[in-house]
Amino acid sequence: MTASTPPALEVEHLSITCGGRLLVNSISLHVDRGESLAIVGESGSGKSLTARAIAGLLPSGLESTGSIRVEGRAHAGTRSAGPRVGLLMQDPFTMLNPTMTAGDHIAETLRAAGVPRGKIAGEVQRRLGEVGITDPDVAKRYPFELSGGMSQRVALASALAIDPVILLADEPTTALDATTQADVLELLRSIQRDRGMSLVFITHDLRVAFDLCDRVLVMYAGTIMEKSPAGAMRDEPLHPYTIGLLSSIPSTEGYQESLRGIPGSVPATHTVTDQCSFAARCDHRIDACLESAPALREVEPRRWAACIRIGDLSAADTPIRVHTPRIASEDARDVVLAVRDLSKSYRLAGSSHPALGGVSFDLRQGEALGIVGESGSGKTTIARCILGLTTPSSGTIDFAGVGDVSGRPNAAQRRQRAQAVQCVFQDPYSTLNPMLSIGTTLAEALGQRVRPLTDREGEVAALLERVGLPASMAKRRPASLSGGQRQRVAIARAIAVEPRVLLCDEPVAALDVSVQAQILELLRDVNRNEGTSLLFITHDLGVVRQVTENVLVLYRGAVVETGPTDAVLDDPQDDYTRRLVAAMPSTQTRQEI
Amino acid sequence: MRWGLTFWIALGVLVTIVVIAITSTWIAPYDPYAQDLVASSQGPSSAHWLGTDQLGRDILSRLMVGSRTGIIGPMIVAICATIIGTLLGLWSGFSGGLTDTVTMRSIDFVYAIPPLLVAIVLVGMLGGGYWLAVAVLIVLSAPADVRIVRAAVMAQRELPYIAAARTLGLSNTRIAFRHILPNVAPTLAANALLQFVVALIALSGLAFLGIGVSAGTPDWGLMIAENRSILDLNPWAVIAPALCITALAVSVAVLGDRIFDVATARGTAR
Repeated sequence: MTASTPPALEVEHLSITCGGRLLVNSISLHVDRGESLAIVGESGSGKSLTARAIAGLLPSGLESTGSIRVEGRAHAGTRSAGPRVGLLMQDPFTMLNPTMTAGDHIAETLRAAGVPRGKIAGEVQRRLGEVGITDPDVAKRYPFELSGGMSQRVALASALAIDPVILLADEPTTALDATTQADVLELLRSIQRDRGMSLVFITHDLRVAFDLCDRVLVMYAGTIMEKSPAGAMRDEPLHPYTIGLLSSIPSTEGYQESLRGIPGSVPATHTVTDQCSFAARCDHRIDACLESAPALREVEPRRWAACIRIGDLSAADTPIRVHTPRIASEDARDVVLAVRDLSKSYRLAGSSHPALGGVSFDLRQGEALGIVGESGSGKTTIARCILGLTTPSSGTIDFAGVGDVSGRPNAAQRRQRAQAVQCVFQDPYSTLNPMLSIGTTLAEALGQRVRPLTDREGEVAALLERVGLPASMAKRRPASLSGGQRQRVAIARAIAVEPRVLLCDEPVAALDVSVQAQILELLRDVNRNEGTSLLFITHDLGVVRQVTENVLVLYRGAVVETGPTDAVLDDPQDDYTRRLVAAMPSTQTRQEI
Repeated sequence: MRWGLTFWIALGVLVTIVVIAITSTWIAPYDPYAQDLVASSQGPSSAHWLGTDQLGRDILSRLMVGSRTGIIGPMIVAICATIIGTLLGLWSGFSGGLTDTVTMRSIDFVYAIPPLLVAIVLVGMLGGGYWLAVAVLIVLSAPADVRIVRAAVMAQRELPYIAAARTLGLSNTRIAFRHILPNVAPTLAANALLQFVVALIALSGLAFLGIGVSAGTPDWGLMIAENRSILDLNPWAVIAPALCITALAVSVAVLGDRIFDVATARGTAR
């Protein structure tokens, strides 16, 4: 970088506070022209606030200090004149105005950028073409008429309409399906290259960051932990936190005997300003870590890390992923759940929409069966039918010892079904009744099992301990628990009934990776040690690889492929499965080769 | 979340009025019915702090005893309407189908008619009386609760924690009372207090129109009506009961507001 060409974006000592509480602690970064930088972090790391501060869109009540310069000039927000910053946000459905057509969104920005009125229509089509939309009718459609991927493309076209110097993308693919995500990432990559534009990409997913960006910056509790070129970080992460994050990601390539999460959760920034913010969760902590906050220093050329122990951490401490062959399953085990020709249609506006068209499978004692599919594949409909939350249109659901439960049950049958199958739901924030204490919730579940409940307090405590929570938690309400803790309670509630089948509907999709690994490990443990069969619904192939023995790939309400998990993922036979496997960002690190 | 000063002031006002209502027969300086035509329509004095009415009855004593009809009727309206509304709302929301349709359309019908007008016509036609007015107000207030509870059932029945409760094999009754009701409790409590306020004003209004409590009974609304003619001689005979109605109504409304805020905040507090 020379003095004559300032970097596209230069942020110095950016701090963000909320009523005196520090949220982001004096971070500095720069992005060169044409360069892409990923900011990676878990929830609470301050990555989105940083992006919003750069865009000049901090929520009211939050204040920022420090300097933000775009092309060497002070930047005061997206609305100001001067160098332009485009913004792309996470949810494609709320980002577009529902009363404006796709074309209107782009035209509006073009008008603001000073494009003459007569040229706008043609320009809109050209811009849509740039983001891969060739159908001219799309410009006339409203956001609700567009799919998620299509909406995100329109939003991208609209962000690009001002021809920005930098595009800020805040988790733009998180809400999308795997195959759509891969398409949108590819599009971002090619547009960035063609325009020579700089990109700041905010994500929680290290795999996506490595895939897309030149450099990666890891944030934790409002501070920068590590800043490295993507390839170098992927091969040899420096900071213990980065190492922990990388080893928390369930590998899509091979089975891992044990999944390592990072115990604990992200602290509030203002509580850890005078020490290493990661110290509480770090395996390599020494007393000096608690005495002062480590400065970000250049450990190797172009590689910075904020850790005083970098020199001491030898290669021996880097995680080594061993992909062990999994214990072969015998098929002689009893079938605990037999689903035959399960179909379900929903009636919408008078016409019938099939969600599920004749799905059959067996679940055996102690087996872990994965159901993989994207949104709209019918995987959640299967779960709802099995749980009795909806009545299937046709087909049978047979639990060993209970019989077919597809019809309308009476009270005794409901209880029998409850003792056969329990569920862990996706959203940790609404899975527990906010008005009931954890103890009450668990005691209620305990009351539904076959064995009578004698020692209420003791059993609740034992249950909490089983899922790795302190017994004192029984008195608390869900609102005071973190997402991971709530999901543990949800698992405790499910296993309290001692069901033969534990159905998990995307149980980790809403959790941070470091917490995700802990929950997956707990579920695997329940499956192995208690012999509970797992029916595991997910869209994440890494998760399915780690948890399940057999897998069922669902596409538009039908099973397209089934077999042992390793075989299906390593050598997919069906077209759709192949696309799905190819769309997964890789976690391949040097140690694994 | 803290309760705040307004809450404590409102609670203080309410408690004072309730204590007076309970003890009024003993602490009232005069018999509220005792007439003294010699001391008719007097202004405030050391003997009669708020003066007397046309029949020479002590205003302060009548205010104190009058607080009883001011509290009991509205309280019964609020409690009964809430109970009836909650049961109907849960039943309607859980049954769905025809039950739901019939209940909700009947409720829409009740909603469509102006409550005070109906109360005046009905109570007037049926010969008047305090308890009849209370009964009519219960019927007219319950629909609001039905709607609140039914909406809560509809919104919550698809949430994962209700799905989890159904997965546990719990009965609908248990889910309704144990899982859904606690989540609407703050709204119901706030609404009940609001209904108290509306009923207080409605009952006072009916009394003022002469179709509520029977003539001669110490009642705030009736006192305003009876003493209108001596406004020039003893304005306190009208102002004092009006102030009492206002103080009670405002303090109960403030309580309802704060209880709702604090209860909802506690459900979501970390």
